[in-house]
Amino acid sequence: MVYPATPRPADKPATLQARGIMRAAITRSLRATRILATGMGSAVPALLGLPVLLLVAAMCLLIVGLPTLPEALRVQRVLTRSERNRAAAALGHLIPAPYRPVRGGWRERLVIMLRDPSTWRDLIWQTVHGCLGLLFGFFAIALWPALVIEVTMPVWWWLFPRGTVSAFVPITTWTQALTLPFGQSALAVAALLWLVPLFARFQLSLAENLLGPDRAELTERVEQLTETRTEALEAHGAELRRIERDLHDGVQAHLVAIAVRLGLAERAFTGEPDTALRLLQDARGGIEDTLGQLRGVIRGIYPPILSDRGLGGAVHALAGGQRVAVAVHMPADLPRAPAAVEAAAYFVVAESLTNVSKHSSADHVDLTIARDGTTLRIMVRDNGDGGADPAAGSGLVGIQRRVAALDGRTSIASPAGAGTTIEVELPCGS
Amino acid sequence: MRIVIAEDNTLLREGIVLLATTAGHEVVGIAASGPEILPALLKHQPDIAVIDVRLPPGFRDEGLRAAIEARAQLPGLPVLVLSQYVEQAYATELLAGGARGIGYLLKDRIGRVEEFLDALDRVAAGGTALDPEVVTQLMSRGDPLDALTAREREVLALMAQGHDNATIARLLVVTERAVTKHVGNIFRKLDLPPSDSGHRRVLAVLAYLQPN
Repeated sequence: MVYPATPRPADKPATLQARGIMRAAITRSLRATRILATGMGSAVPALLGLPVLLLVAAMCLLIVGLPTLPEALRVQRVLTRSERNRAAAALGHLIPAPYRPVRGGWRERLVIMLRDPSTWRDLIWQTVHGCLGLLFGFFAIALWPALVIEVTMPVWWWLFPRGTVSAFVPITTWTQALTLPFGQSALAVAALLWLVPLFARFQLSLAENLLGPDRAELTERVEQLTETRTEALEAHGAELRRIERDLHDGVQAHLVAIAVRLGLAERAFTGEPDTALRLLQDARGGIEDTLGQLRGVIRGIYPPILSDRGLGGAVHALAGGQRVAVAVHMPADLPRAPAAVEAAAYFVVAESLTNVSKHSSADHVDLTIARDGTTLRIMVRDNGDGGADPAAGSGLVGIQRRVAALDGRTSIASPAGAGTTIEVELPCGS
Repeated sequence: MRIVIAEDNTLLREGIVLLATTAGHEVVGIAASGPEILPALLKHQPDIAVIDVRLPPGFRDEGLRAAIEARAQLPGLPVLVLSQYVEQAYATELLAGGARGIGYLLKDRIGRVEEFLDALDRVAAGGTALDPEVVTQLMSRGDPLDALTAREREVLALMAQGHDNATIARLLVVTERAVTKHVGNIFRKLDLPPSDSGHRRVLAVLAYLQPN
């Protein structure tokens, strides 16, 4: 069987095609030149900032410089932010800032910043870009006029026979004037077409790789999120099944039983009023049981006091109903968190307090809740027996699972004889 | 007696109105949201206000807050608070201004018509009606209560709900003399000052049961 030949783009006139390739190459070089030229804008402060950082670091050795270091790093981050934006615009995709949140006094800020690998990656970028950025920029910018001069070299030599220099080689004869610029121009063209785009690519990937999030860290984070997301989905599924079962086996079955009694009462109404009365009373008792069960189901889905009073009010109510004395430390203006977070926080506090009264023989509990930026922190500390072990099947596993499902962190410290401290961090989104 | 009802759910509101009018009471005012309660009470000056905890506009605890505010503005106004669920903390807040003429019941209790009407009368007369579930929550905490016998705990719970000796005797199917004996034992064991069967006794018991 013969297939008809498909027309190919190559069927276009060869000259047109070559012109297109040329145009693309020139556009690419121009773009790369522009990138390297704007790169000088960040390279100058990067270069000038290096001795400043060195000075601050030297002062840190004498301790007095320590408080200035966070400020110096803050300035560095202003520079890296503008570079990140520049590179992002050229690359056409966003480069997220990878820093850990900085907070607290200068000591705390200093520790956070120095422990953040991003700070050190910034420093590497600053050194490399500070040293190479200016050279790249000058090189790319200078090539264009150099090319023009080389191409027009015979004219220059004709106009100024003395003192005409082609790329550092003085020209003395017509032969030289007609041959040398050929080679030099070819070199300049090669540099523009190949080296300049290469440098630009290098500069952009330097910014992307050193100023953006670390790939390995990102991968790890994605794996962790995938895992907690799976757990959250499983927990959610189990929760739905439990609610379904509670409604189906409990409430629905109860209602059927009530309907049966009412039907029988209807039949007995005229003939046996005593039986009818007993059945009616049974039916009302059944309804009361059902209402109680329904309340339990609702409480399990979302504690009503949470929606009435928010986490603060709900926790105070919980604390007030305990056998042990609970001291609640919580700001009065605790901002509201997403419903799922508040429900989890309530669950953590309720479970912890249940554990305290069941297992610890403590007589005092300190309950601290605070919002720290986008994190809700909960700490429950008792003065009981300690020695709590999540593996021993207490509510601790439930707490860990519920917290992990929201990408939070749980830490449990329970040395024997020295009380138990449960600390939980829950991210609140924004 | 003259009643003001604050309830946004039409079905429930009609149910309460039906109950009250059947028992010979008069519903003089209706409030369907939190902000409407106080003006209605000030306008009608009822003998008792029946208020749902969760009301528009926020569907949080507007009714409870309005009830507390009403008690501050109209001292001695009997208030019966109804709720889909009971919360011991809410009971504590309601009772903070005194237990005279305070009721706090689950909506479920409306179904027991006689008991509900009895609670309504009791509160209107300046008595107390606390839901058994609140009392259970209150009594679940203290170790000193472990010293009581099972029967004494039952009597204490009924006292806390706001019942007098005669009613307690009827509910437990015992003689009134037996109840008096149990009450005496309870007060001795809990080291409470002896008091007669009026509000002072309810107050003493509730004060004892209040957390912290």
